[in-house]
Amino acid sequence: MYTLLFLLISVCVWAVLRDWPRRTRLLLWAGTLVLTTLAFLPHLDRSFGLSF
Amino acid sequence: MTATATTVTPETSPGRGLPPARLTHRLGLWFAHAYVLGMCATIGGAYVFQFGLWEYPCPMCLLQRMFMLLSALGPAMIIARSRKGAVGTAEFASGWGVAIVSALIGSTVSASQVLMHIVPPDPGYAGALFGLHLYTWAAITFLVAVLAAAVNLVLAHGFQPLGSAQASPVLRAAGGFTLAVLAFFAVSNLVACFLLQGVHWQMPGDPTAYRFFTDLLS
Repeated sequence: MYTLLFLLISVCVWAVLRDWPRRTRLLLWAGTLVLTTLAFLPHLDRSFGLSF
Repeated sequence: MTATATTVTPETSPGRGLPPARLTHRLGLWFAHAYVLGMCATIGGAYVFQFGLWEYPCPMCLLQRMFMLLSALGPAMIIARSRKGAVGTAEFASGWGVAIVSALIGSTVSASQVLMHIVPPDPGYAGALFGLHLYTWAAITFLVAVLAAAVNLVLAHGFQPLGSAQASPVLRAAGGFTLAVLAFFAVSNLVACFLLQGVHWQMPGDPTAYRFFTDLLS
């Protein structure tokens, strides 16, 4: 799962390097940010006993 | 007088339609470079622990690296845009907004890990640098990053790069270097994470080996 997130981040960097349209770059960044945040939530759940 | 004048935007006409860049505008662009390289240097410090001291990063350490890279993407967008033409206020603000949002969420991850290990006699995860564990340094990095990005936005009128990269060949060349460094850290993290995780969906909370190799040899 983490490998896939790093893959998405690499695609984001590629989008910046290749000067993709601004809207596409921002959507890609936002999507990656949301997925990375979702990957963090189970850690909160396990460590602090929260129930998501 | 006929209304034949067209709106000249930075998108269509690099360097035109904006006032000439002064020293503060060049400093603003140099600051974007410093931000990206600073985030990369922090991940580089983690590499010293991972590859130099042979410690294995935990999943939360990897998440913090991700947020650092995502935060560096904002100024990287500004730098990349400056190599093609003038950077206007909207692009400048958008780039630093990306940096702030990512760094804020990243600081939450770091703060959570600090809280997980804060109660004595928990020794903390992995090694320490100047008495602080890496996740504590990450929390400090994220908070300083948010502060720096916010100050940039406050001083946007003077700090927006405008056409400073066009006026300075050194800034244009530095853009290629900084973006290459960011690309290196993104791809090297991808490879390192793949070797650490192997082809498994989940990763143990306290990894003790590069699972790709252990799976291969078992």
